[in-house]
Amino acid sequence: MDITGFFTDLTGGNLLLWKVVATTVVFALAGVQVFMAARFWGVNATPRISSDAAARVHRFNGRVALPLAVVVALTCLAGPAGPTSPTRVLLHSIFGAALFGVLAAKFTILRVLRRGDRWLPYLGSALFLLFGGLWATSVFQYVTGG
Amino acid sequence: MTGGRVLWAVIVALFVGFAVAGPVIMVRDAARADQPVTTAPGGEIVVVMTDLQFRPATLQVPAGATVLWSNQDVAPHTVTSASEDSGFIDPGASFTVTVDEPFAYACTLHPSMTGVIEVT
Repeated sequence: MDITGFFTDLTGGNLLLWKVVATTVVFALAGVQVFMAARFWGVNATPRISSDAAARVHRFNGRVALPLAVVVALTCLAGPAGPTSPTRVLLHSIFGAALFGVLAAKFTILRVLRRGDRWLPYLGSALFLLFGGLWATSVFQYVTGG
Repeated sequence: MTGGRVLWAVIVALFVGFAVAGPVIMVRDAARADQPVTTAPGGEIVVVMTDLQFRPATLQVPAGATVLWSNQDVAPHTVTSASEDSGFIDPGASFTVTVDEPFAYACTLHPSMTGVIEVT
């Protein structure tokens, strides 16, 4: 199955641009996730919404961000994945692999084992940092033309 | 295990697959780095543009040989040197040059993509 061809046709030949937009949206949503999680974990009082509302926003955001991240990762794995140079590309691959490792750990704890584990805030923070790393090693280069 | 847990176990397995696939592809591509040079049906010597790289990056050809750059990547690329400029080569498209002199070239859209044509 030609996954790259399918998505290239779907995006009218602008797959790279769509990946840039999707990655930026996912990174932004990851930032919102951290704020919402901090709210319902009682770390801070902002935004001024109830913990219940923050949890709902967190879940909704996650359900938007995760499929987007999976699609972008799929187009990366089926397309340009592989090179280990330059360093930017190597880092992007490492961040991407680590991100899905952390996601697997988080959802194993949260949804399979169903534990409100104390490691979740650390895993969530790691996810945000990894999304940031992925953005910086891909979209930043695209935008700056470097 | 409830249906919900089974579904999430499948999703977790997908995430694990993605986490493992990246390093596996990197190792596979490293093993392919020394692939032999190929020729097109028309006799052109082929340089493939894929994974944001020219493959092979260094190519030795006899004077007068025709080199064909085939874009098999997801993004457009260029073959640009002091003497040659392909313009944008879209995915699936190609560009040919008859080589008389050696030259170094790069993709203007992705400057980390560089290559050299050496004339034997």
